[in-house]
Amino acid sequence: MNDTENIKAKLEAKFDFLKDAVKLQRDRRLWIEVPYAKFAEVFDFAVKQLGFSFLCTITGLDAGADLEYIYHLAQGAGQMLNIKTKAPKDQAIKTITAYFPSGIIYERELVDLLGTKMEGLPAGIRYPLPDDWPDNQYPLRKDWNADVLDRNVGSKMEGENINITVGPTHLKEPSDFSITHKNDVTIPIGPQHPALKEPESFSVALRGEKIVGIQLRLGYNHRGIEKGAEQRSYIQDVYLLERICGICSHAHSTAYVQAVEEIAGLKVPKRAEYIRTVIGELERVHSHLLWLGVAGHEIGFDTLLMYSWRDRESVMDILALITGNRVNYGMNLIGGVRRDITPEEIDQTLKVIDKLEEQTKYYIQLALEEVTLIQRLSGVGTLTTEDVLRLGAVGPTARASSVPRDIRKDDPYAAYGEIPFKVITDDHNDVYGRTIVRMGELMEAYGMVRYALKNLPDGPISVRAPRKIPAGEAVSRYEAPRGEDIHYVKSNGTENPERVKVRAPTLANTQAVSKMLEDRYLADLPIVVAAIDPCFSCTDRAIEIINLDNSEEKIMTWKNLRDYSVDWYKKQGVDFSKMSSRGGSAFGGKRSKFG
Amino acid sequence: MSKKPFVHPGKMIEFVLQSLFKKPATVNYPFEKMKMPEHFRGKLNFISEKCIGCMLCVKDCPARAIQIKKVGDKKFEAEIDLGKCVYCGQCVDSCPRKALEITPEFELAQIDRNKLKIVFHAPESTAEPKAQ
Ligand code: SF4
Ligand code: SF4
Repeated sequence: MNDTENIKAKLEAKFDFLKDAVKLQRDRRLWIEVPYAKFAEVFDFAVKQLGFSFLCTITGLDAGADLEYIYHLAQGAGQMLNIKTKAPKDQAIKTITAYFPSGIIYERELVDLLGTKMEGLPAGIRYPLPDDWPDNQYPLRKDWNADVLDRNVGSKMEGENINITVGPTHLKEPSDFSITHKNDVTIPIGPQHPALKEPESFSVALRGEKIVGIQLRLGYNHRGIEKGAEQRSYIQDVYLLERICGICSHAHSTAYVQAVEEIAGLKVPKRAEYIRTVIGELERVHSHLLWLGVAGHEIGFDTLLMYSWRDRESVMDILALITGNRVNYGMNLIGGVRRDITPEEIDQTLKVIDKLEEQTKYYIQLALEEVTLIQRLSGVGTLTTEDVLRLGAVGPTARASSVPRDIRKDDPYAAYGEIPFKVITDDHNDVYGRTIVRMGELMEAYGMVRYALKNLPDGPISVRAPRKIPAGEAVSRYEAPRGEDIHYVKSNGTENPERVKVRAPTLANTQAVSKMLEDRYLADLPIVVAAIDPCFSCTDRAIEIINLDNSEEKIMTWKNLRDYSVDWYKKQGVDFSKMSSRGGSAFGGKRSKFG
Repeated sequence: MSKKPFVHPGKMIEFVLQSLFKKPATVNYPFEKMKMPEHFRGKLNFISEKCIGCMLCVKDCPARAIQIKKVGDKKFEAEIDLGKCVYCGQCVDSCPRKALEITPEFELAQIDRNKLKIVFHAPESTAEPKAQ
C-alpha cells in the first residue's frame, strides 16, 4: 500500500460516511466530498492528523443554488487532498485562517468573485476587485456577464436594477491595520509609483525608519482571465492562460494543458514531455537571470544588472530559436507540443548552455566573495523555517529557509521523474540565501537541459485531442521559477471549460512578504519586495494627524510640521531654526509625540 | 556554504575592464536589424485562393482577431485585426488548407488604430493586401 492509499484508508476508517467515497484519481490525488455540517471535523482531521500542512488554494464554483468549495490541501511529500463541500448561496461559511493564515487572500477572493459570506474573516483590504466595484455583482457567478460593465467609464455600471455605488464600499468597519497603526506614520507606496514596475500598493506604517506594519493591496492587474477562460474553448484557453504572465508563460500553459490532459485521459508522448521540460528549464534560467539583475539593481549594484541581463539574452535567443518567440512561446497544445526540436537546435542550445554555465559559476563566486553583496543581502528579509510552513511560502523563498518544497520532486510531471536533479536548499533564511538558491538552481537547470536533450526519446510530439472534453475535473501543479503554480480545471462535456482556477506562486508568497518586512528598515523594502523602490520625496507633503485625546483631526502641512519640530527641539535646548527648510533631516522621527 | 568565504571587495572590476575591449552586446536598431528566428510568428498572410470558408480559424482564434467573409461563389476575404492578434499562430495550425501563413514581419506599429485592421481581398478585386 503506497502513501496515497494509506491516507485513503485512514480517512475511511475515521469517517463512516467516507467509506468507499474517497476518490483516488491517480497517485497523489485524493478527492472527497463532505456535507458542510461535517466539513470542520474532516478539515481538522486532515490538517492535524494526516499532516496536510499546506493550503494550495481554495476554488469556488457556482453550482446553481449552492456555492461549491474545494480546499486543495497538500503534504510535503506531494500528496494532495481535495476536500469538496457546498453550502447554499446565502449561508455563511467559516474562515479557515486559524489553520492557515495564508488562506485569507483566497477567502477574500471567494467573497469578491463569488459572493461567499465568510464568517470570521477580519476586516481589511479587499481582493481582487476595485474599491468602487458595486455591491452584489459577483463576476464568477454563472449568471453574471461582463456586458453590465460600461467599458468607457471604468467599472461604473449602467442599466436597470443596478445600483451605482462609487467609492470604497468594502471597509464597513475599520481594519486591524488602521486600528493598530493609528499612531504611526503611514506612507502609501503605489499603485502608480515611479519606483514600481507593476501596479500594486503598499501602506507602510513606520515608526522612525522602522517598518511596524505593512498592508498590501493587490488586484490592479486582475484581468478577469478566469471568467474569460469559461467563455472560450479549450484550444483558445491555452493561449489565453499562457498570457497570465510573460516570464512564466510556459509554466501557466503547461499547468493548464496537463490538467485538461488528465481529464481527457490523454497519454502525452514521451518526446513531448521532454520538450516541455527543456522549455520549462530554459524559462527558469531566463527568469532567474532576470531576478539576479533586478536584485542587483535594487541594491544599487547595476553592473550586475547589465551583465546578467546580457547573459539572459543568449537564453532568450535560444528560446526564440526553438519556439519562435522570446516570450509567450506558444509551445503547448492539448496532447503534446506544437514544434519539434531539430538536431541543429539541440547543438546550438548545448553550446549556449555551456557558455552560460561558465558565466553562472562566475556569478556564484561573486556571490560568495563580493563583500558588498554579502553584507547588503545577509540578514535582510528574514523568514524562518517555521514562518515558511505557517505562511505557506513557495518556491525559492521557501527553499532558502530549508524547506525542500519543490513540485518537480514532490509530484513529478512532464519528464521530471526521469531527469536527475537536486533540490537546492539553503539555511540562510534571508535574501542572500534566496540568491544562493537561485544560483544553484541555474546550475541544476543547465544539467537538466543537457540531460533531456541528450536523452530525447524518439517518436511523435503530440496526440490528437478531442474538441469536447468529457466531464471531469483535475488539479495540476507546476514548479514555476517563482514557486508552485496551480491550475484547477473542471469540464462539463462541452467545448468550453466549466471553470478554470489559477493560483500563481506570488499570491502564495504575499503573506510572507509582510512577515519579512516586519521590524525591518524602510530601506530594505525595495530588495525584499525586489520590485519596489520607494521614494519618499514623491509621497504627499501633508501628514494627517489624529489627536488621540479628543479624536480631532487636523492636517499639518510641511511648514506646520517644521515649526512644530523647531519648537519641540527648542524645548529640548536645541535650536534648528537657522536651518534651511529643505533640510528634512532636522525633523525628529518620534511621531507619537505629536499627539 | 559552511566554509568561510574569502571576502573580495570590488570583485567585478576585472570583469568590467575586460568588457571595454569587447564589441557591444546591443544592436543599433533601427539602422541595424536582427534576423528573426525561423519559426518567428509575426504578421499573418492570407491566401484567398486556398480558403474554403470552413471558419475553423475564426473559431479557434483566442483573441477573436480574424474574420472570414464570403464575397462570391467560393470566394473569401479575411479581415485581421493586428491590434487584437496575439501572434499565437493557432489559426495557421487550424486551417485545413494552409490558406493562412505566418510572416516574419514585426514592425507593425501604427498611430491610427484603424490602420491595424487589414483586409485581404479575394483575387478579383486586388491580389495585394490593402490597408482599410
Ligand atoms: S495568430 Fe492567433 S491571435 Fe492572431 S489571428 Fe491567428 S489565431 Fe488569432
Ligand atoms: S481555416 Fe483556412 S480554409 Fe478555413 S476559413 Fe480559415 S482560412 Fe479559410
